[in-house]
Order: sequence, then structure tokens, then C-alpha cells
Amino acid sequence: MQVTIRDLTKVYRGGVRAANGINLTIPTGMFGLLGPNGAGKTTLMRMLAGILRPTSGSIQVGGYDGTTEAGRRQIKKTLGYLPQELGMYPDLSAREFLDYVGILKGMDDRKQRQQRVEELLRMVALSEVAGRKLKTYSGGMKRRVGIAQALLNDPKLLIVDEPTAGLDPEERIRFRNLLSELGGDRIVLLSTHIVEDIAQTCQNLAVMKAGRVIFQGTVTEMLQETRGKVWTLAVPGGAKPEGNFTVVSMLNMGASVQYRVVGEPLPGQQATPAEPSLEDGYVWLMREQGPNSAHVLAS
Amino acid sequence: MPFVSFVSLDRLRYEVKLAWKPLVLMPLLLTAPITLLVIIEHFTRESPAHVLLGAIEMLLPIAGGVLVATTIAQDAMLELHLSFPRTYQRTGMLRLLMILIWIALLSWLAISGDALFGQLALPTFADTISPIVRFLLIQLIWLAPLMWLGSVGFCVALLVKSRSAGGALLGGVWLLDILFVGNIAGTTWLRPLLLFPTTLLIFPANLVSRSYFETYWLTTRFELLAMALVFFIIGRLLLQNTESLLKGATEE
Amino acid sequence: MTLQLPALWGALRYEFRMQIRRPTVWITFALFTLLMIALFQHPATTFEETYTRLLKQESLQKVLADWAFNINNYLPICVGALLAGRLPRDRRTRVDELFTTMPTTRGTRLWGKLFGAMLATTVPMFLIYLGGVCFIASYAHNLLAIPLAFPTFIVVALPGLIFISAFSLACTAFLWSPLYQFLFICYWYWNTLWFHTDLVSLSRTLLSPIGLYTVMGIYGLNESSSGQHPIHITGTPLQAIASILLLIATAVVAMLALDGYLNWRQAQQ
Ligand SMILES: Nc1ncnc2c1ncn2[C@@H]1O[C@H](COP(=O)(O)OP(=O)(O)OP(=O)(O)O)[C@@H](O)[C@H]1O
Ligand SMILES: [Mg+2]
Repeated sequence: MQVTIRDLTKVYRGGVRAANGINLTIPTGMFGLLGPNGAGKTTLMRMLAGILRPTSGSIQVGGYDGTTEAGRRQIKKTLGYLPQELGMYPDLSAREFLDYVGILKGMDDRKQRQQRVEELLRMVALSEVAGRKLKTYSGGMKRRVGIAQALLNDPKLLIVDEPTAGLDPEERIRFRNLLSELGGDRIVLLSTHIVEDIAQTCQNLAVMKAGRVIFQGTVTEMLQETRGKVWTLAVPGGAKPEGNFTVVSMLNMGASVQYRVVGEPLPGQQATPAEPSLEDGYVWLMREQGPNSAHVLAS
Repeated sequence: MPFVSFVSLDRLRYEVKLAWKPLVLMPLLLTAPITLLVIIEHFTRESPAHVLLGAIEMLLPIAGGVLVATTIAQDAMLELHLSFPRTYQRTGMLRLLMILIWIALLSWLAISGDALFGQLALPTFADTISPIVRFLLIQLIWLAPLMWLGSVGFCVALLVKSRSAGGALLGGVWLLDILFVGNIAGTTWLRPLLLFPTTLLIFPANLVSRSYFETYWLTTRFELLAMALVFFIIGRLLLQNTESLLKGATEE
Repeated sequence: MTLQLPALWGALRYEFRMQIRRPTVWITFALFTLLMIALFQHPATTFEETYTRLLKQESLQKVLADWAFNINNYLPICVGALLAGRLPRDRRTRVDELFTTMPTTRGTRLWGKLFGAMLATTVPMFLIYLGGVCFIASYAHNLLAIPLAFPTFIVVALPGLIFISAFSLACTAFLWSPLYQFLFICYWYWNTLWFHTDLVSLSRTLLSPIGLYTVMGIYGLNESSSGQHPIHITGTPLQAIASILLLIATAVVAMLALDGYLNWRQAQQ
């Protein structure tokens, strides 16, 4: 299966162009989506999930056309979606909530559905507390319920919008591995601000900014592009180094401070090239691209 | 058979579980002021039958309208629900139906009890109508205002997307309709808005002439139902606009 | 409950802006106005007919008081119902948690909320009232009606509005807001039945949010004057002042109770 997006544009009422001619091809496997706040990640994912109608452009998911009502209905049958802000019914228990979601996803066989619910509760390690009402859950526990509901119908297309926000490190790693496992035979589209999550799990990724895709390719390609732009500078005395670059980190070494920068240091500075990480790549891309917000149409 | 699976018992169980508290509480809370009023009126010259009739014709329908407006205006899980193959539109309609059927059931029980204890005065010419038609006409007492307020609540909730404003508008319409009943009945083009003539205009009904009954009661009941149908259709179309639903979820 | 004045002013302004910017508030009153205009179309009781007749019999001040009293019979139902959502909204959007971490006391915030949200919701109601006043001024050929309209509204309507607003805030702290709205609608209907002398009614006591004692005691409205229903009871100026004070005092008690209740609930958590 493959998702193909062509010239996808979304203009919200009020003139915010949250997606501006997006072209993307998403193959089977894990696919990461990076971008600053307000880049349009959620908007793109909502359009893929059939929640928002695109203003123009086309979406093709497997053999289905995501711009028609009939196509969207078919896509939704094989879709798992975890919204960025998941609202739940506070008076239901996790078990009941998942059961209800199962019904809404069209799983009509009660036995099968309940079996699946138990399976997923075990998977997200909530079996013990599954009878408690959701309003007594912690933020991370609710996230896990959200993840479980996305997986209920064994989706072929799994869209998760910042799923690891608010999870403890252990749970985050567990969840990351789970997603990688799932990515074996389906599309998993993952948006996040945690670059490391993508570095650890995704083959392919896209970077968005101001409604546009400014990079699409593999992790290796992104690193390739950043090669030669990352430096370490040792500056004695702690004076802030000047130059056309972005400081990624600073390490206090007693007498001197070691800076890691992305960009072009001045010729006189003692800069040694460093091996780029994905985070450096992200910083480089953000430096290279223009203004940081969605375009507002003049009305 | 999509419809059968859509209202599966499991599904209904959850819908009831999500909604039962207000559904039970509102009518239950209603009984307190009504009982109080009946007792008060018992000591004054007004008849308890009048109060009971008012409760069935005026209070239960507004309770239904407020419930519909609240239920439709918000859903905690809206964004997620929009990504499911079972559409939110259907869920909304199912909830709407559930509320209306529940209030209808209560109203029917109440009016039947009313009739059983001989508290429901009918026009003298009612004896000549067949029992089935008479039964149906009696149900129109509550059905017409319930459907009208329910459908208006439905539309208003989707238009203003706010619980408090929905309740405010319904309450306002309801109150003005009662206070200005004379003006409404006296102006031809306003007359279809006559929501509660059974209590406010033709009580006790046994003194009412046939033509008066037909002008102020029978015609207006059907006009209300027709308007309700239009409002339901408009509401159903508004429900289609998921984008505005999603945006409304963050307002209030 | 200690009050901090600058903070109170800040909270008031914030709540006022929040509420007055909501389109739903304006839509609600706009639809309400349309309905009122439609209802005044009956040939025998058009607005013009009613008030030109009244103007022939009574002083301008009395006529204005009557109009304010009329308005105060209908529109507070919208004010009360609209305010029912303010406190639950803070809980849902979790700004209440944010506010508890700030140095302002909860009492200050609650008073700010009460006055800010109430005044904002009263603005459209006042504009409707003012619209009527303009017509009355033109029937009377007397521009004095406009300046007179302000104190009349404040005296007749405001105490009752403070009273119901306080309850709309306080009750929704523990009642599900649509449920409160429903009860409020019932209560308000009961209030408007004040002219049924054989019906026990709070609105025929000093605790009358529609301002019955005020219009009788201060403006001298009585049987001959009132537009829709003749008033069969009489009130003295002293009773009018007592009524105003009682309404405000009850509102204060409700707000204190709300503050106490919220503190208690916070301690319970
Ligand atoms: N309902 C809406 N109406 C108008 N504008 C909107 C709406 N939703 C989002 N926007 C705007 O669209 C742009 C993209 O928003 P979006 O939520 O897609 O960003 P995002 O990449 O998901 O950001 P984040 O990382 O903060 O979640 C932003 O400028 C936002 O202000
Ligand atoms: Mg987002």
C-alpha cells in the first residue's frame, strides 16, 4: 500500500493557508513528519484521516480516492487515528471506552471485539486498571488508551499525531518499538517534535514548514545534506561566539566552553567539523527556509 | 443490513450509559416544582389538572429541547469520532432520537395517567370522533411542542455551537411564547408559533367550540410539526459540516 | 475573602472582553430581538400604540420605568442562561488550575468574573432597552428620555441582574449547567407570573429580581400605569430600597458561599 498526496492545499476559514501545495509519497513502513509548531502537520493528518476536506489537491490511499465521500469511507475502515488532543468520555472505564470505539469502528462481533480489547489493554499495560473510570487516569495513561484505540481495528494506515508527548521514557521507548513492529506491513505516519523518536524508528521522513514540505527522503539523505555544516567550537572564557550559525548545544569544560553549531563559522574561529545528527539536520533545514508561520492571505 | 448493525444493542447500551444521568435527572427534578405548584394551586382556585397539563405541554418539551441542544452542541471525542467509519452524523441522530423517544415516553405516560384519572378535559365534540383518532389527537398536545423545541434546539446547537447560548435561546423563545400568547394567537401570520394553546388558550377544553379549536389548536399543531420537520432537515444538513463542528468544539 | 482592587479590575476587564467578544451572545440577543419585534406586531398592542397611550396618561419617567420593567421581565432569562456556562468553561479549559497558582485570591477572581461577564451580557440587553427608549423619546418628542434611561435601567434592572448572575455562577459550580439552565428557565417563568395574585410567587416579595418593588416604590407604577398587567399591590420607597439591598445582599451571600464551596472542594482533592 502507498499514500500519494498531490498539490494538497488547505485554506481555513479566515484565510490561513495551513497546507500549501503538499506533494508526498508515503510507502509502507514508518514515516516521520517533523516541523515546528503551526507547520501544518495536524492539518495534513486530519485531511488524510478524512476529518477535514482539502481545499484542492488529491489524496490517494491504496486504491481509494481520499477526496470523495465514498473513498473516504473506505479509507476510514482501514484507518487508525490518534489525534493530538484526545478527548474521552470521563465516566467510562478504559475497557468500556475501547469497546465503544470498537463498535464505532464497525467491529460488530462482540466476542471478537472484547477479545481484541483485552489484547490491546495488555499491549499498553493497562489491564490492571482497565476497570477504572477514565477521569481517574493520569495524562500518560490516557495517551496509552488513545494508542490502544487507534490499533483496535488492526489498521493498514496508522496516523499518530505526537503520540509520545507526555509518556515517561520507558513507556516512550516501548511505544516506539511497538510502532516499529507495526510498521512492518503497514503505513505508520508519525508526527512528533522529538527528533530522536524519528531517528530511532523511521526509514523515511518529511519536514514541514509553513504549510510546505521542505524535505522528503530517508534519514541518511537528510544527514548527507547536513554534512559539512556542523561544527564544534571551543571558546575560552565563555564569551559567546559570533557568526552566521545556530548554537545547538554548549558544554562547559571548565576553562573553555565547547559549542556545537550548525551553519558557517567565521574563518578565524577554531572550528572542527562534527558528525551531524538528525537534530542538526532539522536545525539546518529550519535555518535555510524562510519565515516561520503559515501564510495569511490578504483579504 | 447497515441499519440493524448501526443500532446494535451494545451500541445502545453505551449511548444510554453516556447519557442517562441528565435524561433521568431533568424529568425527575421537574416533578419537584410541579408537585409544589399542584399543592399551592390546590389551595387557590386553579385546578391541579391545569398545572399537570402545563407540565406535559410546556415543561417536558423544553426539557427535551435543552437536552437536545446540550447533547448535540458538544462531544468530548469529536475529532476521533470523525475518523471512524460509523459517522458522527449518525451518532448525533441516534442521540437526538434517543432523547426525543425518552421524553415522548414520559409525556405519553403522563398524559395517559392524566386521562385515566379523568383530569384531561376534552372538547364536547370529541365524543363523536373514533377512539383511535382521539388517542392520536391527545398525543399531539405534547408531540407538537416537543418536536418543535427539539428541532429548534438541534439547529440552534449546531449554529451557535455553545451549550449556554442554546439553552438561553430556547428558554427565551419558550418564555416569550408563553407571555405573548395573546399576541401570537391574535396575529394570523404568527399563529403557527402558538406552542402551548392547550394550557394557555383552550383550557378547559370542554367549553371550546369546534371552529375555535380547529383554528387555534388543530391547525397550529400540524404547522408546528411541519416546521419541526424543516428544522430537522436543516439541522441534519448543518451536522454535515464537520469542519465547523470541529472548530466549535474549541469555542464556547 | 479578601479583595485586591487592581486585580479585581483586571479580572473584570478580562471577563468582560471574553464574554462580549463571543458571537453567540450577540446572536442570542439578535434572535431574541427579532422575536420581540414580531410579537409586538399585534395591532392592539404594538409598541407604538402601547407607549403613546401610556405617554398621554403618565410622566415620561414613569413610562421609561415601565419599559425597563417590561424588558426586565423577559431578557434576564437570556442573561442568566448565558452566564451559566462561564464557570464550567474555566474548568473544562483548565484555566482555573492556572489561576489558582496566581497571587490573586479566588474571591477577587470570582467577583471579577461576576461583574465582567454580567456587564458584558447586559450590554446587548441594554441596547435593546435603549432601542425602545429611542422610540419612546420620539413619540414623546422629548430627548430627555435618553439621559433618563440610564439611571432608570440601573435602578430597575441591575439589582436583579446581579442577583441572577451570582446564582448562575454559584449554582453551576455543583450543578450540571444545562440542568441549571432548565431550572432557571422554570424559575424565571414563575417570576414572570407575578400578576397572578393567587399564585405564591417570590417575585411579589422584596426578593423580586424583576424589580417589582422598585418600580412601584420609586417610580410609582400602579394599576393605572403599567402596560400589560395592572399592578394590584403597592410599594413604598423604603420597600424599594430594601428590595434593592436585599437582592444585592443575597447575591453577596451566594458569591461567598461559592467561594467557600470551591475552597472546600479544593481542600478535598
Ligand atoms: N480550525 C482552524 N482555523 C483556522 N486556522 C487553523 C485552524 N487549525 C489550525 N489552524 C492554523 O493552521 C496552521 C497549521 O496548524 P496545525 O495544527 O496543522 O500545525 P501543527 O504542525 O500540527 O503544529 P503543532 O506542532 O503545534 O501541533 C497554524 O497556523 C494554525 O494557526
Ligand atoms: Mg499538531
